[in-house]
Amino acid sequence: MRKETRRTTTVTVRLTDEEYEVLRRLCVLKQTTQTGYLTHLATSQARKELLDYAVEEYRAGKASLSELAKETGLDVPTIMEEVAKVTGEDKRIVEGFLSAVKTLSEANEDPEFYSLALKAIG
Amino acid sequence: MRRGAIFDSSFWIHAVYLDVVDFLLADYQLLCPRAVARELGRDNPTSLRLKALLTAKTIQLATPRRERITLYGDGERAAINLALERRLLLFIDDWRPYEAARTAGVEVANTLAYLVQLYNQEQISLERVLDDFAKLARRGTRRPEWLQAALKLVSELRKKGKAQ
Repeated sequence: MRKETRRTTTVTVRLTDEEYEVLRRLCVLKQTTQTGYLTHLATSQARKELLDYAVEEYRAGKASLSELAKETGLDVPTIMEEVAKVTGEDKRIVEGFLSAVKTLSEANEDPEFYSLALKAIG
Repeated sequence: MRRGAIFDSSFWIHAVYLDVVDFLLADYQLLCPRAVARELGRDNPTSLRLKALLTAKTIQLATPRRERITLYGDGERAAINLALERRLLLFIDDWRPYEAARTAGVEVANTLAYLVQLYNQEQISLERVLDDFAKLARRGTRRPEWLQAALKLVSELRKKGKAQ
C-alpha cells in the first residue's frame, strides 16, 4: 500500500532568549518537541479565532453562514453549532419567546398554549 | 406527485436537528446543490444524514447552469440560482440570502413556515411545534421576528380549529 504523503509548509518563528527558554522548559516538562508544540498551539488557536470571528460576524448580521464558511474554511454546521452555543447562554432570547407566547395565550384566552410553551422551554 | 424543492445548508441543519427530514421527503422531491453538500463538511450528523440520502438517491445533487445571483457564499448562491433556473421552491433559513432570493422572485420558505404547515396538516401536535420553536429560539440562529410571526400563525390556527 502506498503511504499518503502530506505537503507541509515551513514557518519560521523568531524568539528572544527569554521567550525561547520558556518554550524549551515547557517542552521538556511535557516531553514534546518544540515544533510539535508550536504547531498544535498555532493551529488550535487559529481555528478558535476563526470560529469566534464567524460567530461575531453572523450574530452582528454582517455575513451569511455560507459566506463565513467560505471565508474561514470552516463548515457551516461547525459555525452554526458555535452560534447556538453562544446564543444559548443568552437568557433574553428564551424570555422573548415566552413573552410572545404569553401575549398570544392571554389574547386568545388559551392558557394551554402558554403552559405547553413553558414545558417546551423546560 | 411530490413537488420539487431545493434547500440550503442553514435549512438542512435545522431540518436534521428538529428531525423533520422524513416529513420533507414525503412532501417534496429534494434537490441539493453540490456547493451546499460541500459546505456541510464531512463528519458531522447533518452531512452524514445528507450523504446517506444522496447515496440512496433519495435526494439528487444538482448544479445551476448559470449564475444570475452573484452575491453571498457558494452554497446559498447555488441554491438561489438553482431555484431561479428550475422555478422550484427554495427552503432557506439564513435571513439575508432569504431576502435576496425573495427579491429575485424565488418562492421561499423556511423551517418555521414548514413547521406551521406540518401543524396545520395535523402531522405534528401543538406540543411538538412549540417544542421545536423553543429549540430554535434557544439556538438563536433565527430572526426573532420570524419566530414571533410563526407563533402567531400557530395560535391563530389553533383558535380557528377550536372555533370549528
